[in-house]
Amino acid sequence: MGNEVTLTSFANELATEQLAGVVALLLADRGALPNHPAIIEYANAQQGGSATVKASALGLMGYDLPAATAEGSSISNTALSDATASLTIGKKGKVYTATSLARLLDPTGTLNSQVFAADAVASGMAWDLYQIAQLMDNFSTTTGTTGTDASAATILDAITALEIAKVPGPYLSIMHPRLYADIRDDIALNSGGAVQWNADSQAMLSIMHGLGAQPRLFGVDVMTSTHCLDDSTDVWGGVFGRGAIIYGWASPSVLDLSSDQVVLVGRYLFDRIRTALADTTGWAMHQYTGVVELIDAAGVSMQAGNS
Amino acid sequence: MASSSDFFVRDSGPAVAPSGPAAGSAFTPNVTGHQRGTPAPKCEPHCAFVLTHHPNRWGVQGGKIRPILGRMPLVSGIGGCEDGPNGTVKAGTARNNTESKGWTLIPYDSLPKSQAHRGSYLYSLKDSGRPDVILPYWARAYAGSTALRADLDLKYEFLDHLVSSGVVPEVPTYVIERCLDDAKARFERAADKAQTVPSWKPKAKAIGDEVKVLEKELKARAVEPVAVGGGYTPETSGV
Repeated sequence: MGNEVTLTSFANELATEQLAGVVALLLADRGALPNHPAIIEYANAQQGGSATVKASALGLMGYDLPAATAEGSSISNTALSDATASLTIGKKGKVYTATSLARLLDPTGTLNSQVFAADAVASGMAWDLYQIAQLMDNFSTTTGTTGTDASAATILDAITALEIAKVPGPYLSIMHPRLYADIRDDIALNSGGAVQWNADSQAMLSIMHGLGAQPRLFGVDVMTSTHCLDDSTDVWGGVFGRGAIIYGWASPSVLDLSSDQVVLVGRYLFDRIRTALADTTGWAMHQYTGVVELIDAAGVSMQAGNS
Repeated sequence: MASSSDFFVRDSGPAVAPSGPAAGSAFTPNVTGHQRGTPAPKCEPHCAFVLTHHPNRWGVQGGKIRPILGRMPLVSGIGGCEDGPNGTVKAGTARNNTESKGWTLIPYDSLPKSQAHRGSYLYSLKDSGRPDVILPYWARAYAGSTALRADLDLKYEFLDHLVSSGVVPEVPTYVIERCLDDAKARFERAADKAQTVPSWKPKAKAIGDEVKVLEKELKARAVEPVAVGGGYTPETSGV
Protein backbone atom coordinates (compact mmCIF):
# COMPACT_ATOMS: atom_id res chain seq x y z
CA MET A 1 0.00 0.00 0.00
CA GLY A 2 1.14 3.54 -0.51
CA ASN A 3 0.28 6.92 -1.87
CA GLU A 4 -2.33 7.58 0.76
CA VAL A 5 -3.37 11.17 0.95
CA THR A 6 -2.05 12.21 4.35
CA LEU A 7 -1.83 15.53 6.13
CA THR A 8 1.81 15.67 5.09
CA SER A 9 1.29 14.96 1.43
CA PHE A 10 -1.75 17.21 1.31
CA ALA A 11 0.03 20.03 3.18
CA ASN A 12 -0.02 22.45 0.30
CA GLU A 13 -3.79 22.26 0.21
CA LEU A 14 -4.30 22.64 3.94
CA ALA A 15 -4.00 25.48 6.43
CA THR A 16 -1.50 24.92 9.23
CA GLU A 17 -4.31 25.01 11.78
CA GLN A 18 -8.01 25.36 11.61
CA LEU A 19 -9.76 28.11 13.50
CA ALA A 20 -11.98 27.15 16.39
CA GLY A 21 -14.39 29.90 15.46
CA VAL A 22 -14.18 31.16 19.04
CA VAL A 23 -11.89 33.93 20.22
CA ALA A 24 -11.49 34.05 24.00
CA LEU A 25 -9.97 36.86 26.00
CA LEU A 26 -6.69 36.56 27.85
CA LEU A 27 -6.91 36.97 31.61
CA ALA A 28 -6.88 40.57 32.80
CA ASP A 29 -8.29 42.82 35.48
CA ARG A 30 -11.17 44.31 33.47
CA GLY A 31 -13.26 45.78 36.26
CA ALA A 32 -14.89 49.15 35.79
CA LEU A 33 -16.45 51.55 38.23
CA PRO A 34 -19.10 53.40 36.32
CA ASN A 35 -20.34 56.27 38.43
CA HIS A 36 -20.57 54.75 41.89
CA PRO A 37 -22.08 57.35 44.23
CA ALA A 38 -19.17 56.99 46.67
CA ILE A 39 -16.87 58.50 44.02
CA ILE A 40 -17.16 62.20 43.36
CA GLU A 41 -16.68 62.84 39.68
CA TYR A 42 -15.23 66.10 38.48
CA ALA A 43 -16.67 65.98 35.00
CA ASN A 44 -14.58 67.33 32.18
CA ALA A 45 -11.76 69.66 33.09
CA GLN A 46 -11.60 70.72 29.42
CA GLN A 47 -10.68 74.38 28.90
CA GLY A 48 -10.37 74.91 32.63
CA GLY A 49 -7.02 76.60 32.13
CA SER A 50 -4.99 74.04 34.09
CA ALA A 51 -4.41 70.31 34.32
CA THR A 52 -4.61 70.71 38.10
CA VAL A 53 -8.08 70.82 39.58
CA LYS A 54 -8.66 72.08 43.10
CA ALA A 55 -11.27 69.94 44.80
CA SER A 56 -12.74 71.15 48.06
CA ALA A 57 -15.17 70.16 50.77
CA LEU A 58 -17.00 72.65 52.97
CA GLY A 59 -18.21 72.35 56.55
CA LEU A 60 -21.83 73.23 55.87
CA MET A 61 -25.24 71.52 56.21
CA GLY A 62 -24.93 70.67 59.87
CA TYR A 63 -21.15 70.59 60.21
CA ASP A 64 -21.23 73.35 62.85
CA LEU A 65 -24.05 73.24 65.38
CA PRO A 66 -25.67 76.51 66.45
CA ALA A 67 -24.27 77.88 69.69
CA ALA A 68 -26.31 78.93 72.72
CA THR A 69 -26.44 82.65 73.23
CA ALA A 70 -27.95 84.71 75.98
CA GLU A 71 -30.95 86.86 75.22
CA GLY A 72 -29.94 90.20 73.78
CA SER A 73 -26.33 89.24 73.13
CA SER A 74 -24.73 88.97 69.70
CA ILE A 75 -23.52 85.73 68.31
CA SER A 76 -19.91 85.35 67.16
CA ASN A 77 -18.89 84.43 63.66
CA THR A 78 -18.49 80.74 62.98
CA ALA A 79 -15.38 79.81 61.03
CA LEU A 80 -16.23 78.11 57.77
CA SER A 81 -14.17 74.90 57.71
CA ASP A 82 -12.90 73.37 54.52
CA ALA A 83 -10.64 70.67 53.14
CA THR A 84 -8.95 70.70 49.77
CA ALA A 85 -6.90 68.47 47.54
CA SER A 86 -5.39 69.11 44.13
CA LEU A 87 -6.23 66.63 41.42
CA THR A 88 -4.03 66.46 38.35
CA ILE A 89 -5.08 65.08 35.01
CA GLY A 90 -2.58 62.57 33.62
CA LYS A 91 -2.35 61.33 30.04
CA LYS A 92 -2.41 57.66 29.23
CA GLY A 93 -2.78 55.98 25.85
CA LYS A 94 -2.07 53.01 23.64
CA VAL A 95 -2.12 52.07 19.97
CA TYR A 96 -2.55 48.88 17.98
CA THR A 97 -1.39 48.76 14.37
CA ALA A 98 -2.11 46.13 11.73
CA THR A 99 -0.91 45.71 8.18
CA SER A 100 -3.49 45.50 5.46
CA LEU A 101 -2.44 41.95 4.69
CA ALA A 102 -3.25 40.94 8.27
CA ARG A 103 -6.61 42.73 8.05
CA LEU A 104 -7.42 41.13 4.69
CA LEU A 105 -6.73 37.62 5.97
CA ASP A 106 -8.09 38.08 9.51
CA PRO A 107 -10.76 35.40 9.87
CA THR A 108 -11.59 36.42 13.47
CA GLY A 109 -13.05 39.79 12.60
CA THR A 110 -10.88 41.40 15.26
CA LEU A 111 -8.78 43.82 13.26
CA ASN A 112 -11.35 46.54 12.72
CA SER A 113 -12.30 49.90 14.18
CA GLN A 114 -15.33 48.65 16.12
CA VAL A 115 -13.36 46.09 18.13
CA PHE A 116 -10.54 48.50 18.93
CA ALA A 117 -13.03 51.21 19.89
CA ALA A 118 -14.64 48.79 22.35
CA ASP A 119 -11.17 47.88 23.61
CA ALA A 120 -10.38 51.58 24.07
CA VAL A 121 -13.40 52.07 26.34
CA ALA A 122 -12.76 48.89 28.33
CA SER A 123 -9.07 49.71 28.72
CA GLY A 124 -9.80 53.29 29.74
CA MET A 125 -12.20 52.15 32.43
CA ALA A 126 -9.72 49.52 33.61
CA TRP A 127 -7.10 52.26 33.98
CA ASP A 128 -9.58 54.36 35.97
CA LEU A 129 -10.05 51.41 38.31
CA TYR A 130 -6.27 50.98 38.54
CA GLN A 131 -5.86 54.59 39.62
CA ILE A 132 -8.50 54.37 42.34
CA ALA A 133 -7.17 51.00 43.54
CA GLN A 134 -3.75 52.62 44.07
CA LEU A 135 -5.27 54.83 46.76
CA MET A 136 -6.92 52.05 48.75
CA ASP A 137 -3.91 51.34 51.00
CA ASN A 138 -3.38 55.00 51.86
CA PHE A 139 -6.10 55.93 54.32
CA SER A 140 -4.67 56.74 57.74
CA THR A 141 -7.22 54.50 59.48
CA THR A 142 -6.53 50.79 59.06
CA THR A 143 -8.18 47.53 60.05
CA GLY A 144 -6.85 44.00 59.99
CA THR A 145 -3.49 42.75 61.20
CA THR A 146 -0.28 42.45 59.27
CA GLY A 147 0.56 38.89 58.25
CA THR A 148 -2.81 37.57 59.45
CA ASP A 149 -5.79 36.42 57.44
CA ALA A 150 -8.66 38.90 57.21
CA SER A 151 -12.05 37.93 58.62
CA ALA A 152 -15.58 39.27 58.45
CA ALA A 153 -14.59 41.48 61.38
CA THR A 154 -12.01 43.24 59.19
CA ILE A 155 -14.67 44.82 57.00
CA LEU A 156 -17.11 45.25 59.90
CA ASP A 157 -14.45 47.22 61.80
CA ALA A 158 -13.93 49.38 58.71
CA ILE A 159 -17.66 50.08 58.46
CA THR A 160 -17.75 50.99 62.15
CA ALA A 161 -14.82 53.39 61.73
CA LEU A 162 -16.56 55.07 58.78
CA GLU A 163 -19.83 55.43 60.65
CA ILE A 164 -18.09 56.99 63.66
CA ALA A 165 -16.25 59.33 61.29
CA LYS A 166 -19.70 60.49 60.03
CA VAL A 167 -19.12 59.21 56.51
CA PRO A 168 -22.33 59.04 54.48
CA GLY A 169 -23.19 55.87 52.56
CA PRO A 170 -23.42 54.02 50.32
CA TYR A 171 -19.97 52.57 50.92
CA LEU A 172 -17.78 51.09 48.23
CA SER A 173 -14.97 48.65 48.86
CA ILE A 174 -12.17 47.83 46.44
CA MET A 175 -9.99 45.05 47.76
CA HIS A 176 -7.36 42.59 46.68
CA PRO A 177 -8.97 39.21 45.82
CA ARG A 178 -6.81 37.51 48.48
CA LEU A 179 -8.30 39.78 51.15
CA TYR A 180 -11.81 39.11 49.84
CA ALA A 181 -11.12 35.36 49.85
CA ASP A 182 -10.09 35.53 53.52
CA ILE A 183 -13.38 37.23 54.40
CA ARG A 184 -15.31 34.71 52.32
CA ASP A 185 -13.50 31.80 54.01
CA ASP A 186 -14.32 33.21 57.40
CA ILE A 187 -17.98 33.63 56.51
CA ALA A 188 -18.17 30.18 54.92
CA LEU A 189 -16.33 28.25 57.60
CA ASN A 190 -16.57 30.10 60.86
CA SER A 191 -19.60 32.35 60.89
CA GLY A 192 -22.67 31.92 63.01
CA GLY A 193 -25.71 33.89 63.98
CA ALA A 194 -26.76 36.80 61.84
CA VAL A 195 -23.86 36.50 59.42
CA GLN A 196 -24.56 32.83 58.79
CA TRP A 197 -28.13 33.48 57.68
CA ASN A 198 -27.57 36.84 56.04
CA ALA A 199 -28.61 36.99 52.38
CA ASP A 200 -25.32 38.75 51.52
CA SER A 201 -23.40 35.78 52.92
CA GLN A 202 -25.52 33.37 50.91
CA ALA A 203 -24.91 35.36 47.72
CA MET A 204 -21.21 35.53 48.46
CA LEU A 205 -20.96 31.76 48.82
CA SER A 206 -23.37 30.53 46.19
CA ILE A 207 -21.99 32.29 43.13
CA MET A 208 -18.35 32.65 42.25
CA HIS A 209 -18.10 35.92 40.39
CA GLY A 210 -14.41 35.86 39.52
CA LEU A 211 -12.60 39.14 39.63
CA GLY A 212 -14.47 42.46 39.64
CA ALA A 213 -17.92 43.26 40.99
CA GLN A 214 -18.97 41.01 43.88
CA PRO A 215 -22.23 40.70 45.79
CA ARG A 216 -22.91 43.38 48.39
CA LEU A 217 -21.46 42.50 51.75
CA PHE A 218 -22.88 43.96 54.98
CA GLY A 219 -24.40 46.72 52.86
CA VAL A 220 -21.11 47.60 51.15
CA ASP A 221 -20.70 47.40 47.37
CA VAL A 222 -17.62 45.26 46.85
CA MET A 223 -15.20 45.08 43.95
CA THR A 224 -12.06 42.96 43.84
CA SER A 225 -9.01 44.04 41.90
CA THR A 226 -5.46 42.77 41.59
CA HIS A 227 -4.46 46.41 41.19
CA CYS A 228 -4.78 46.75 44.96
CA LEU A 229 -1.40 46.66 46.64
CA ASP A 230 0.46 43.48 47.55
CA ASP A 231 3.38 44.93 49.52
CA SER A 232 5.05 41.50 49.91
CA THR A 233 3.84 41.15 53.51
CA ASP A 234 0.19 42.10 53.16
CA VAL A 235 -2.49 42.60 50.57
CA TRP A 236 -4.59 45.73 50.86
CA GLY A 237 -8.01 47.08 50.12
CA GLY A 238 -10.21 49.89 51.30
CA VAL A 239 -13.76 50.84 52.15
CA PHE A 240 -14.86 54.40 51.56
CA GLY A 241 -17.86 56.65 51.34
CA ARG A 242 -18.58 59.84 49.43
CA GLY A 243 -15.88 62.43 49.92
CA ALA A 244 -12.88 60.10 50.07
CA ILE A 245 -12.04 59.94 46.38
CA ILE A 246 -12.34 62.49 43.62
CA TYR A 247 -12.11 61.31 40.03
CA GLY A 248 -11.55 63.85 37.29
CA TRP A 249 -11.23 63.71 33.56
CA ALA A 250 -10.93 65.89 30.48
CA SER A 251 -11.98 65.03 26.97
CA PRO A 252 -10.24 66.73 24.07
CA SER A 253 -12.48 68.04 21.32
CA VAL A 254 -12.56 66.27 17.98
CA LEU A 255 -10.32 68.30 15.67
CA ASP A 256 -12.78 68.54 12.84
CA LEU A 257 -15.65 66.54 11.48
CA SER A 258 -13.61 65.03 8.66
CA SER A 259 -10.87 63.62 10.92
CA ASP A 260 -10.74 59.93 11.72
CA GLN A 261 -11.28 60.77 15.36
CA VAL A 262 -14.04 60.35 17.88
CA VAL A 263 -14.47 60.84 21.63
CA LEU A 264 -15.84 57.62 23.06
CA VAL A 265 -18.31 57.70 25.95
CA GLY A 266 -17.49 61.38 26.30
CA ARG A 267 -13.98 60.88 27.64
CA TYR A 268 -11.65 58.59 25.64
CA LEU A 269 -10.13 59.98 22.47
CA PHE A 270 -10.00 57.40 19.69
CA ASP A 271 -8.15 57.82 16.38
CA ARG A 272 -7.79 55.72 13.30
CA ILE A 273 -4.37 56.20 11.74
CA ARG A 274 -3.87 55.23 8.11
CA THR A 275 -0.26 55.09 6.99
CA ALA A 276 -0.64 54.81 3.23
CA LEU A 277 3.06 54.42 2.43
CA ALA A 278 3.42 51.36 4.66
CA ASP A 279 -0.19 50.31 4.17
CA THR A 280 -0.90 49.95 7.87
CA THR A 281 -3.86 50.98 9.96
CA GLY A 282 -3.54 51.97 13.60
CA TRP A 283 -6.12 52.54 16.30
CA ALA A 284 -4.96 54.85 19.07
CA MET A 285 -6.71 55.79 22.29
CA HIS A 286 -5.80 58.51 24.76
CA GLN A 287 -7.33 59.40 28.06
CA TYR A 288 -6.82 62.31 30.42
CA THR A 289 -7.88 61.30 33.90
CA GLY A 290 -6.81 61.58 37.50
CA VAL A 291 -7.80 60.64 41.03
CA VAL A 292 -7.00 62.07 44.42
CA GLU A 293 -7.99 61.50 48.02
CA LEU A 294 -10.01 64.42 49.37
CA ILE A 295 -11.16 63.55 52.92
CA ASP A 296 -8.86 61.00 54.54
CA ALA A 297 -11.36 60.07 57.26
CA ALA A 298 -13.93 59.09 54.62
CA GLY A 299 -11.99 55.92 53.89
CA VAL A 300 -10.45 53.02 55.79
CA SER A 301 -7.64 50.77 54.55
CA MET A 302 -7.79 47.04 55.24
CA GLN A 303 -4.79 44.72 55.36
CA ALA A 304 -4.34 40.97 55.49
CA GLY A 305 -1.39 38.63 55.13
CA ASN A 306 -0.55 37.95 51.49
CA SER A 307 -0.12 34.20 51.79
CA MET B 1 36.55 25.27 33.75
CA ALA B 2 37.57 22.42 31.48
CA SER B 3 36.15 22.54 27.97
CA SER B 4 35.23 19.47 25.97
CA SER B 5 38.42 19.82 23.92
CA ASP B 6 40.56 19.91 27.08
CA PHE B 7 39.05 16.61 28.05
CA PHE B 8 40.58 14.85 25.10
CA VAL B 9 43.96 16.58 25.16
CA ARG B 10 46.82 14.48 26.46
CA ASP B 11 50.23 15.86 27.40
CA SER B 12 51.95 14.53 24.32
CA GLY B 13 49.03 13.35 22.29
CA PRO B 14 47.09 14.91 19.48
CA ALA B 15 44.35 17.47 20.09
CA VAL B 16 41.70 14.98 19.11
CA ALA B 17 41.37 11.55 20.66
CA PRO B 18 42.68 8.91 18.34
CA SER B 19 39.71 6.69 18.94
CA GLY B 20 36.47 6.67 20.85
CA PRO B 21 33.79 9.33 20.75
CA ALA B 22 34.36 12.56 18.81
CA ALA B 23 34.70 15.82 20.72
CA GLY B 24 31.50 17.75 21.27
CA SER B 25 30.08 20.68 23.14
CA ALA B 26 26.84 21.46 24.90
CA PHE B 27 23.99 22.05 22.53
CA THR B 28 20.52 23.41 23.17
CA PRO B 29 18.16 23.36 20.19
CA ASN B 30 16.88 26.81 19.37
CA VAL B 31 13.20 25.95 19.34
CA THR B 32 10.87 28.87 18.79
CA GLY B 33 8.47 29.44 21.64
CA HIS B 34 10.39 27.40 24.17
CA GLN B 35 11.58 29.07 27.31
CA ARG B 36 15.27 29.83 27.43
CA GLY B 37 16.89 30.84 30.68
CA THR B 38 15.16 31.86 33.87
CA PRO B 39 11.64 33.13 33.36
CA ALA B 40 10.78 36.62 34.58
CA PRO B 41 8.74 37.01 37.76
CA LYS B 42 5.01 37.04 37.05
CA CYS B 43 3.92 39.31 39.89
CA GLU B 44 1.57 42.23 39.25
CA PRO B 45 3.20 45.47 38.07
CA HIS B 46 4.32 47.70 40.95
CA CYS B 47 4.68 51.39 40.21
CA ALA B 48 7.42 53.52 41.72
CA PHE B 49 6.49 55.22 44.98
CA VAL B 50 7.71 57.11 48.00
CA LEU B 51 7.17 55.46 51.37
CA THR B 52 5.15 57.57 53.79
CA HIS B 53 4.28 57.54 57.46
CA HIS B 54 1.19 58.79 59.27
CA PRO B 55 1.14 59.29 63.06
CA ASN B 56 -2.04 57.17 63.31
CA ARG B 57 -0.63 54.13 61.51
CA TRP B 58 1.08 51.87 64.02
CA GLY B 59 0.61 48.25 64.86
CA VAL B 60 2.31 45.27 66.46
CA GLN B 61 4.61 43.70 63.92
CA GLY B 62 7.10 40.99 64.83
CA GLY B 63 6.34 41.37 68.54
CA LYS B 64 7.01 45.10 68.65
CA ILE B 65 5.04 48.29 67.99
CA ARG B 66 6.20 49.45 64.58
CA PRO B 67 4.91 51.96 62.02
CA ILE B 68 2.56 50.74 59.28
CA LEU B 69 3.95 52.62 56.32
CA GLY B 70 1.95 54.00 53.43
CA ARG B 71 3.15 55.03 50.00
CA MET B 72 2.73 57.86 47.55
CA PRO B 73 2.44 56.29 44.07
CA LEU B 74 4.47 58.10 41.40
CA VAL B 75 2.12 57.76 38.44
CA SER B 76 0.80 60.77 36.58
CA GLY B 77 -2.86 61.29 37.39
CA ILE B 78 -2.71 59.55 40.76
CA GLY B 79 -2.79 61.63 43.93
CA GLY B 80 -1.61 64.80 42.19
CA CYS B 81 1.35 63.47 40.19
CA GLU B 82 1.86 64.95 36.73
CA ASP B 83 3.87 64.12 33.65
CA GLY B 84 7.19 65.94 33.75
CA PRO B 85 9.74 66.50 30.99
CA ASN B 86 11.54 63.51 29.43
CA GLY B 87 9.34 60.86 30.97
CA THR B 88 9.76 62.07 34.53
CA VAL B 89 6.96 62.45 37.05
CA LYS B 90 6.34 65.80 38.74
CA ALA B 91 5.30 65.08 42.30
CA GLY B 92 5.09 68.54 43.90
CA THR B 93 1.29 68.65 44.02
CA ALA B 94 1.13 65.03 45.19
CA ARG B 95 3.61 65.86 47.94
CA ASN B 96 1.45 68.82 49.06
CA ASN B 97 -1.66 66.61 49.07
CA THR B 98 0.13 63.92 51.06
CA GLU B 99 1.81 66.14 53.63
CA SER B 100 -1.31 68.25 54.18
CA LYS B 101 -3.05 65.09 55.39
CA GLY B 102 -0.43 64.50 58.05
CA TRP B 103 1.85 62.08 56.23
CA THR B 104 5.64 62.31 56.27
CA LEU B 105 7.54 61.37 53.13
CA ILE B 106 10.44 59.05 53.85
CA PRO B 107 13.61 59.98 51.94
CA TYR B 108 14.93 57.22 49.70
CA ASP B 109 18.29 57.16 51.47
CA SER B 110 16.83 56.60 54.95
CA LEU B 111 18.56 53.25 55.22
CA PRO B 112 20.02 51.36 58.16
CA LYS B 113 23.81 51.15 58.17
CA SER B 114 23.82 47.57 56.92
CA GLN B 115 21.87 48.65 53.82
CA ALA B 116 23.48 52.04 53.19
CA HIS B 117 25.27 50.71 50.09
CA ARG B 118 21.92 50.41 48.31
CA GLY B 119 21.43 54.17 48.07
CA SER B 120 17.64 53.74 48.01
CA TYR B 121 15.06 51.58 49.72
CA LEU B 122 13.56 50.80 46.31
CA TYR B 123 14.89 48.47 43.68
CA SER B 124 13.77 47.58 40.17
CA LEU B 125 13.33 44.14 38.64
CA LYS B 126 14.53 45.49 35.30
CA ASP B 127 17.43 43.02 35.18
CA SER B 128 14.97 40.17 35.68
CA GLY B 129 12.87 41.29 32.73
CA ARG B 130 10.29 43.28 34.70
CA PRO B 131 11.07 47.00 34.50
CA ASP B 132 7.47 47.64 35.58
CA VAL B 133 8.07 46.16 39.03
CA ILE B 134 9.57 48.46 41.67
CA LEU B 135 9.78 47.01 45.17
CA PRO B 136 11.20 47.88 48.57
CA TYR B 137 14.46 46.04 49.17
CA TRP B 138 12.97 43.56 51.66
CA ALA B 139 10.42 42.32 49.10
CA ARG B 140 11.31 39.22 47.08
CA ALA B 141 9.89 38.26 43.70
CA TYR B 142 10.47 34.81 42.22
CA ALA B 143 11.20 33.63 38.69
CA GLY B 144 8.05 32.45 36.95
CA SER B 145 5.92 33.04 40.02
CA THR B 146 3.23 35.56 40.95
CA ALA B 147 4.29 35.40 44.61
CA LEU B 148 5.85 38.25 46.54
CA ARG B 149 7.34 37.54 49.94
CA ALA B 150 9.06 39.73 52.48
CA ASP B 151 12.29 39.21 54.35
CA LEU B 152 10.78 40.30 57.65
CA ASP B 153 14.13 40.70 59.42
CA LEU B 154 15.17 43.26 56.80
CA LYS B 155 11.81 44.98 56.95
CA TYR B 156 11.81 45.27 60.75
CA GLU B 157 15.39 46.49 60.72
CA PHE B 158 14.30 49.24 58.30
CA LEU B 159 11.24 50.20 60.38
CA ASP B 160 13.28 50.29 63.60
CA HIS B 161 15.90 52.42 61.87
CA LEU B 162 13.25 54.95 60.82
CA VAL B 163 12.22 55.39 64.45
CA SER B 164 15.71 55.37 65.95
CA SER B 165 16.98 57.88 63.38
CA GLY B 166 14.05 60.22 64.02
CA VAL B 167 12.65 60.06 60.48
CA VAL B 168 9.51 58.64 62.06
CA PRO B 169 8.70 60.05 65.51
CA GLU B 170 8.07 57.63 68.40
CA VAL B 171 4.61 56.14 68.60
CA PRO B 172 2.37 58.55 70.55
CA THR B 173 0.83 57.20 73.75
CA TYR B 174 -2.74 57.91 72.59
CA VAL B 175 -2.11 55.74 69.53
CA ILE B 176 -0.93 52.84 71.73
CA GLU B 177 -4.10 53.23 73.80
CA ARG B 178 -6.23 53.12 70.67
CA CYS B 179 -4.33 50.10 69.32
CA LEU B 180 -4.82 48.39 72.67
CA ASP B 181 -8.57 49.01 72.66
CA ASP B 182 -8.75 47.67 69.13
CA ALA B 183 -6.59 44.62 69.92
CA LYS B 184 -8.66 43.82 73.02
CA ALA B 185 -11.87 43.92 70.98
CA ARG B 186 -10.32 41.64 68.38
CA PHE B 187 -9.00 39.32 71.09
CA GLU B 188 -12.43 38.98 72.69
CA ARG B 189 -13.99 38.07 69.35
CA ALA B 190 -11.19 35.66 68.49
CA ALA B 191 -11.25 34.02 71.92
CA ASP B 192 -15.02 33.55 71.63
CA LYS B 193 -14.60 32.04 68.18
CA ALA B 194 -11.80 29.76 69.38
CA GLN B 195 -14.27 28.10 71.73
CA THR B 196 -16.18 26.62 68.81
CA VAL B 197 -13.62 26.77 65.98
CA PRO B 198 -10.34 25.17 67.09
CA SER B 199 -8.40 26.66 64.15
CA TRP B 200 -8.98 30.09 65.71
CA LYS B 201 -6.97 29.19 68.81
CA PRO B 202 -3.58 30.21 67.35
CA LYS B 203 -5.16 33.40 65.98
CA ALA B 204 -6.60 34.23 69.39
CA LYS B 205 -3.22 33.55 70.97
CA ALA B 206 -1.45 35.81 68.45
CA ILE B 207 -3.86 38.65 69.16
CA GLY B 208 -3.48 37.96 72.89
CA ASP B 209 0.28 38.38 72.48
CA GLU B 210 -0.38 41.64 70.65
CA VAL B 211 -2.41 42.86 73.63
CA LYS B 212 0.48 41.96 75.97
CA VAL B 213 3.00 43.92 73.86
CA LEU B 214 0.76 47.00 73.87
CA GLU B 215 0.04 46.75 77.60
CA LYS B 216 3.73 46.38 78.39
CA GLU B 217 4.63 49.44 76.32
CA LEU B 218 1.87 51.48 77.90
CA LYS B 219 2.98 50.46 81.37
CA ALA B 220 6.56 51.41 80.57
CA ARG B 221 5.45 54.94 79.86
CA ALA B 222 4.40 57.30 82.60
CA VAL B 223 1.00 58.03 81.11
CA GLU B 224 0.28 61.72 81.31
CA PRO B 225 -3.02 63.27 80.33
CA VAL B 226 -2.73 64.93 76.93
CA ALA B 227 -3.49 68.38 78.35
CA VAL B 228 -3.45 69.50 81.98
CA GLY B 229 -5.64 72.40 82.99
CA GLY B 230 -7.41 73.87 85.99
CA GLY B 231 -10.78 72.67 87.23
CA TYR B 232 -13.82 73.78 85.32
CA THR B 233 -17.31 74.32 86.68
CA PRO B 234 -20.03 75.19 84.17
CA GLU B 235 -21.95 78.36 84.95
CA THR B 236 -25.41 77.07 85.73
CA SER B 237 -28.27 78.07 87.91
CA GLY B 238 -30.36 75.65 89.90
CA VAL B 239 -27.71 72.93 90.08
